[in-house]
Amino acid sequence: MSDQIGTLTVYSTRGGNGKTITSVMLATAAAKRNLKTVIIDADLEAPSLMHLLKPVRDGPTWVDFLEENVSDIRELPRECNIPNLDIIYSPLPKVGKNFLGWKTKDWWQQSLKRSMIAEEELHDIGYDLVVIDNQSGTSLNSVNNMVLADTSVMVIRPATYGVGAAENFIGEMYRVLRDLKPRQDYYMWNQVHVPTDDHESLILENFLNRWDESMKLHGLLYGGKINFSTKLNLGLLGETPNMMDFFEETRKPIDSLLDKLLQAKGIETS
Amino acid sequence: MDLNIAEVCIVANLQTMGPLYVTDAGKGFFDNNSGMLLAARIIITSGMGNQASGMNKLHGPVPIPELELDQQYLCYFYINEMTQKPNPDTPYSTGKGTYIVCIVIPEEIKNDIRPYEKQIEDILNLEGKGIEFSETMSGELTTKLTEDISVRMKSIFEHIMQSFDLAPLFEATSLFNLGLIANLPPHISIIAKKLILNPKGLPERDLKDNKVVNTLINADLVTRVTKDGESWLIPR
Repeated sequence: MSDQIGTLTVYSTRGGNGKTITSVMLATAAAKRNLKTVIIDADLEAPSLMHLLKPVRDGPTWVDFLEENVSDIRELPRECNIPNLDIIYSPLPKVGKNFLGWKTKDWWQQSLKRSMIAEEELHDIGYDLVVIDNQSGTSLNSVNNMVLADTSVMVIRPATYGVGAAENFIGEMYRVLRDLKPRQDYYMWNQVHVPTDDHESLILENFLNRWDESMKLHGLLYGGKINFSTKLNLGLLGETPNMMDFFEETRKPIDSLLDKLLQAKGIETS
Repeated sequence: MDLNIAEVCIVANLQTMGPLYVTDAGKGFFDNNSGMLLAARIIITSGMGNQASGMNKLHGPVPIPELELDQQYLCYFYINEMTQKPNPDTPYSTGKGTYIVCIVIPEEIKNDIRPYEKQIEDILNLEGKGIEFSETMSGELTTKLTEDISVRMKSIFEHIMQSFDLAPLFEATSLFNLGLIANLPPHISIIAKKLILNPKGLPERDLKDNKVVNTLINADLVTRVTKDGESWLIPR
């Protein structure tokens, strides 16, 4: 595969919406299409990729590169059991005397610079697609990672409190991001209740219509919908979740979203 | 009085930084400790308008602790000539009918302007030094000099206003500050954005606006290096 897809970040306005699973699913779908893909765990406050895709060996982390402890980007990606997919992990947050206070505004500014260098170099060494599993919420880190990407997917579980409080910020953030460089921003509903009767259908439809309209006003593109999956939710309770099972559960909407992302870039894969 | 010897002081003392001597510095216009004005005939200065006093008075700078204005100036910079009334009883007055060219900072923006005093001082220094006195005869202010001062004052005014737009740049420590980028004037932000999207740098020839580039370098947000004989700009 020689086409370079670019960089995609998966974001949400708050935790628990399914960013990491969606990141892994999108990265897996891309890898299955022979796109050389790397996924970065960039949620520095609550990294979780190591729980879903366990590291097969030790090695330097994303933070090592940001802090210039590592200068060669090739040292970061670690292979996993999915062909064409590599992982860049982040370390667990520091505790002790630096607990909750280890990053200044200057740190984040330099981190943005280093991230942008890393993103460029990952493509230079042959990755077609870089997927960034972002931090949720409104932080310097999450916005930095949005800047890195030319495509974003905001994952939302249907709940008014989940999107309502962040609506104004969402509008402003995407305006600033689009002013910086051309980009495509999508949103995707996750774990949507499957209605069992007309009454439930109506409630759900009203909710989704209201927020679909709002997202459209903010310039976000509809990315699709992943229905609630008992298998997936129960699977997350286990010690070693099986990503391939998850992938089969979400394959249709994930593939459909990937199609949209690739079509927007004029790339056809199967 | 020989204007070639002691004719102009430029004072920018907006808060507590003490008198700043510009032209003919070292000739003893001021006593640093007392703030005594000795011999200057033209003072180019800057101070804070004080609406609250209700007395149309300009407070500070040090050598001119209180200067009565003809009217209240609140929403704009006032640049004009005023004559300090002789008052031999006060140690702060020359008692010589000194011409004072004044930039009044409106009260409403006092707090906004305070962080930028140093920049305003630099502007006053830079522009004030350009005033040409060589054709001025002793003891009088020629029309030409008055016009020259007027032009300089307008230039200072414009420079200060432009500097307000640029001030956030000089406060910043890195160009990778999205809040900064989002709030810069468009002609600067377009260059700044291009730079941060190229974190390893760009050939200087790719950026067409030398003035903005130099401003970014002066603000220490961009470093100029030479690569293979070509000038490159690297964002900090």
